[in-house]
Amino acid sequence: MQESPDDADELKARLARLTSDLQTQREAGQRQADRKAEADLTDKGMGQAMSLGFRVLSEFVAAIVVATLIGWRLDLWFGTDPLFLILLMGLGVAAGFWSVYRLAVKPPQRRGDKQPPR
Amino acid sequence: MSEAGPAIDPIHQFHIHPIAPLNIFGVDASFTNASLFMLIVFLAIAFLMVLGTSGSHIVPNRLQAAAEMAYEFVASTVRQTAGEAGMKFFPFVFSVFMFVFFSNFIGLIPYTFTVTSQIIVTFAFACFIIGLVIAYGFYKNGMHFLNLFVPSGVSPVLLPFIVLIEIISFASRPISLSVRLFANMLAGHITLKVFGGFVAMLLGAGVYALLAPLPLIGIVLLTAFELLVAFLQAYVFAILTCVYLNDAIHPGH
Repeated sequence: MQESPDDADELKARLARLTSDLQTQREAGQRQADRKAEADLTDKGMGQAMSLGFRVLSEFVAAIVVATLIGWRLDLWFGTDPLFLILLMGLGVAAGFWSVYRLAVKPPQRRGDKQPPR
Repeated sequence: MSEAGPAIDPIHQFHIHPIAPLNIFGVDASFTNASLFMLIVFLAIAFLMVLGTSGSHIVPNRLQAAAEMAYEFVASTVRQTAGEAGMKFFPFVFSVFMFVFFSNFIGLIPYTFTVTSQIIVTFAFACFIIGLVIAYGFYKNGMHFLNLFVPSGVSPVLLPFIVLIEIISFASRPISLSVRLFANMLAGHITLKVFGGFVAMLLGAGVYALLAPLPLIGIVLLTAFELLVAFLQAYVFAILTCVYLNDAIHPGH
């Protein structure tokens, strides 16, 4: 009890040391995590590119197919044989390009303001 | 996988045949090989998750590590694409991801049936997802949900055109979602089978039997590739589910 000021000083010093140690460790861990995330990104480059490729292909094709089908059914309904088919096929191509454009534009923005995807 | 007969017929593996015929009021509800493998997939997932989470050791064992990895992977995917508000749908996205992932992987084992190589399965999934998006979008945002089709900052002259395009691209989502998964699994399995058929045919072709190891090596490489595709397709399916749900949660670009 008599040594309490000494004890307090020692405790303070030890606490300060602990804090700084923890800080450096945390920073090291953070750096390691950053590096790991980067490695993951390059490692998954192939997988990510492939998944993006699948998405682009299927979305482009699906837009055209769906629009053409809608046009075909509309023509059967109204009896205006090639009109809606041609019109909607054009729209479908535009929709396909539009969705591919959106896919191509979005990822960098998202990657910029949020954590990089794993 | 390469007996002489079926090896020549790469489509044979996708045939559905009833195991226990069952007819309810004229509806064919037989227990088929597809049902059997859906059950196997479900049991495998339940086994992994129930056993993996029952112990909760501080130092996880293998099953627990696998279960935790699956959870963290899907959770981070949902957070990144749909935000914190999307975590409401985490159980749904997790179920979809695990089901697709396990069906893809179990289907790669020879003599098994790939549930996801049936378009009706993937299409049912996609329709359910889009239905959920529409229902939740209207429930959460009311008529404001229709802003999804009206991007901001477009000149009024182009607006009707853009709205039409947006509607078409929304309508094509269930098709693209289901066809992508289905076509990848179908094409991969047919390719593997055809290469297996090459091996069998070359072995029975006299001198050309010397060439038989070539497609065999091809099968090994393709199997590795198919493993990648099996994971990627499950991942893409899950991430697109999140993207579409994100549209329902925050409509308007």
